[in-house]
Amino acid sequence: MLTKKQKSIILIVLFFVITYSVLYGIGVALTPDNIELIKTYRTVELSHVFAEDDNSLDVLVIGHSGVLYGFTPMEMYDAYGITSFNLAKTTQAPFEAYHTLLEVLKHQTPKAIVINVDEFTYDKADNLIKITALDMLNKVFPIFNVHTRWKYLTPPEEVNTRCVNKNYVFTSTAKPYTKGETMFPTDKEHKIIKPWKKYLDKICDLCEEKGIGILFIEFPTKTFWNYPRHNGFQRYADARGITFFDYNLLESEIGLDWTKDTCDKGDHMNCYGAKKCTLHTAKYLQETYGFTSHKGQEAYANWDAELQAYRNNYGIIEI
Amino acid sequence: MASILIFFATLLVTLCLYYVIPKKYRFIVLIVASLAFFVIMSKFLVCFIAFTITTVYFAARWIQKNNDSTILDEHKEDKEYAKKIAKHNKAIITITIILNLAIIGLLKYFQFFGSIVTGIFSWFNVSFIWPKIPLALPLGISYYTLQSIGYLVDVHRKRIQADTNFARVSLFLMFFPAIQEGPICRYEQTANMLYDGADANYKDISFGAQRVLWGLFKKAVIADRLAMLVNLIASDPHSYSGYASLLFILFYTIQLYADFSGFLDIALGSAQMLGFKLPENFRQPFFATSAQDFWKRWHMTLGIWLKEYVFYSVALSPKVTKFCGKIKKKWKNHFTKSLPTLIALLAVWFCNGLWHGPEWKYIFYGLYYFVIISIGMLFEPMVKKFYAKKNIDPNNKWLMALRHARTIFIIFLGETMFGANTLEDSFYIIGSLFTHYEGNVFALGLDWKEMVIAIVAMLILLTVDIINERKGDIREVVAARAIPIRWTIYILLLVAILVFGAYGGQMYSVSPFIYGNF
Repeated sequence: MLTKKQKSIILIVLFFVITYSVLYGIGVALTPDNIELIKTYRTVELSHVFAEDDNSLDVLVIGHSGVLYGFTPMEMYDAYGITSFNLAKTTQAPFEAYHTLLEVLKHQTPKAIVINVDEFTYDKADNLIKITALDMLNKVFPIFNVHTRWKYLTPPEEVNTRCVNKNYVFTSTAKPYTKGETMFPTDKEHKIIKPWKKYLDKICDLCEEKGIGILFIEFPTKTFWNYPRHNGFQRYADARGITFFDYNLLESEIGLDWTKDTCDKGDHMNCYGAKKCTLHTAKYLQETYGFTSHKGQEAYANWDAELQAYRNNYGIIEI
Repeated sequence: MASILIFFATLLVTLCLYYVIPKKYRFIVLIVASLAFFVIMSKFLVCFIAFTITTVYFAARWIQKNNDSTILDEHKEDKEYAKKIAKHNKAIITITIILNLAIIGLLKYFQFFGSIVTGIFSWFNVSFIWPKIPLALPLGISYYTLQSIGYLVDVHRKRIQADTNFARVSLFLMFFPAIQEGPICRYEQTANMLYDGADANYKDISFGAQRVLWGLFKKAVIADRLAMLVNLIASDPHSYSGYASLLFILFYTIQLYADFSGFLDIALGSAQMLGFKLPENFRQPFFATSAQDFWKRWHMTLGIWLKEYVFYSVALSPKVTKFCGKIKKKWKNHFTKSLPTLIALLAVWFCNGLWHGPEWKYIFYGLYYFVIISIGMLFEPMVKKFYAKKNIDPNNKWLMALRHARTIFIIFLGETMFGANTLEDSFYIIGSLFTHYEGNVFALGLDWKEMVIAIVAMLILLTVDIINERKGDIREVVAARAIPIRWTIYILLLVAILVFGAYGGQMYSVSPFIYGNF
């Protein structure tokens, strides 16, 4: 026969087990699959990629705001007829990039993927602790992360429409960077932190598995980047046989002018800087993969129309 | 958001340590937790509360020492000595109170005084620039300052003995569940209880946790949801009118109630989990039948404090008594008889308004209640006579309903002045009620899904208040039910908070507690 105390303990334990099961169950039920996650939880602009015709994109570009402002797919299409989509998000975390890519690759078979590597350098301790703690909390209590989904069980309408810019953020504002050099040669090497390296490995493995070529890029920035970081990613790229263009070391080659090509004093590119970077990347991709221009092809009439709309919106960007 | 998380983290750690440490050392856990919470929230501003605790502790002991000396044999019959001591004590209490009020005056009201001074100068066409100093407020300064003054006055009035234990006074003034938004406790209500500690008690822990959950429900599901509409309209009231203004008036008052009483539920529930019963601050305020009754149900501990330490101090002060006595001699009527009360009430409501913040709208809000309560008081004999003459039962249900409706009107009107950004905005909102508004009701910050959740949650709040009013503590009512019903209620409450709470995610941001700003 159980004593009163034992009964109370059993009841308390039972209460917590039931409560946890209910909360966990609701959390799991509310958890969206990856595609919904992309469509409802982050920039709607990125989700326009799902409105593109299946298997119509030659190149995908991954990264955060550096790519958002630094790579303009329409300029590449105009120059070489290569179709691409900018899959960047502001402060995109590597696991987001991976999950986004997984979903997009269900619909597209690109020949190459361009990865802006500084996404894998968020290494401030607080950020890591916060992310790890939140990650753990979300695993144990998924309800915390997805509770707002009760009112978004259907994705917003606009995600099913095409967009002209292909998620590129256009700005012609020029706020010059005048403070001087930030890339001082050194043998020091940045170590990619484990959780981020895991996702970089996963992305590279996924591309290799699907026979997709990889190009590492670091878009020009005066705030995010330094030589040890360059060395760290160069070593990683060399180890995997990946080409790496660090535009911070190729400024003269692409003709970058920090007094004209940045929109915010050196953090991001404006449309002039973006065009320079895009054309350099496009040239390499064309030479390496030998893409056939889609311009004028019937199946890509949408792209031609969108290029026209892009020009109508922004005109010819003179560099 | 951060402050809530820090609060719960502090509570969790405190609970774990509190019950494993022997009872006689438990006060140390509370002091360390309260201090840590204060430092995390206010950083170096902890020096201000340290100053208050120290000055109040020593001033009270000094007063006590003086009081004790008057009953010594050599001074027992010495009236001159007693007079001298009374004068001395008055000086001590006045200086200590002024010093502490000076801190709050400087930190909280500096710019407000500046605007008054600048206004006066500009009246005489003299250009004067009041310095702008960026000042931060320590956590709960409006609450612990009142508690410390109350303690000091009680010692001065010989209601209590000055405490010789510095730790006990410190804990009384900085107990972390109560420091952010009250309740404003009196020394004899909590000091010994907190210091002596409490034993683990299943009912207290369980009831305390239930109350915390209920507070979170009010805050996260109701207050922060209604805030989406309220903030939108408050930011630009001139773009709205008609039913949009009406929704602002209704939702702001309910938001304020859910927010403030929600935090008090969290504070009182947390204290109960530690085994303490703090004084209640709310008692179903919307069921009040008069403005006076409303203030006996809303922010009760502030009302009690103002009654004890402002009302009586003014009403019984020799100057007021003398002045009113003279008037009463000349004109003997109901008004002159009520004059000391009216003067004291004016002081109470002025302080009430000013306490809420350095803005004219708060002072106006206080005076609004002064006028309403004074009118009620002055006309009371006439109304009673009228009922008697017409043979009307003043407590019949129609009159009660009418009184109730009148009080609701007064409350909502008052809170509109309180909630709008400026007095002009509140007048505009009230004035725009009778104009047409063409906008979509679901474009006012709450789409139809949010609106449904808000209405259902408010109905739950109303139901719980009805049960609390008619049947007593709802927790007792629920506890009397069978386990499956009980557990279903608890789990549903938790699910409602976690799923429908306006926290986290892309579209919500949890706002700080409104009364934490006062």
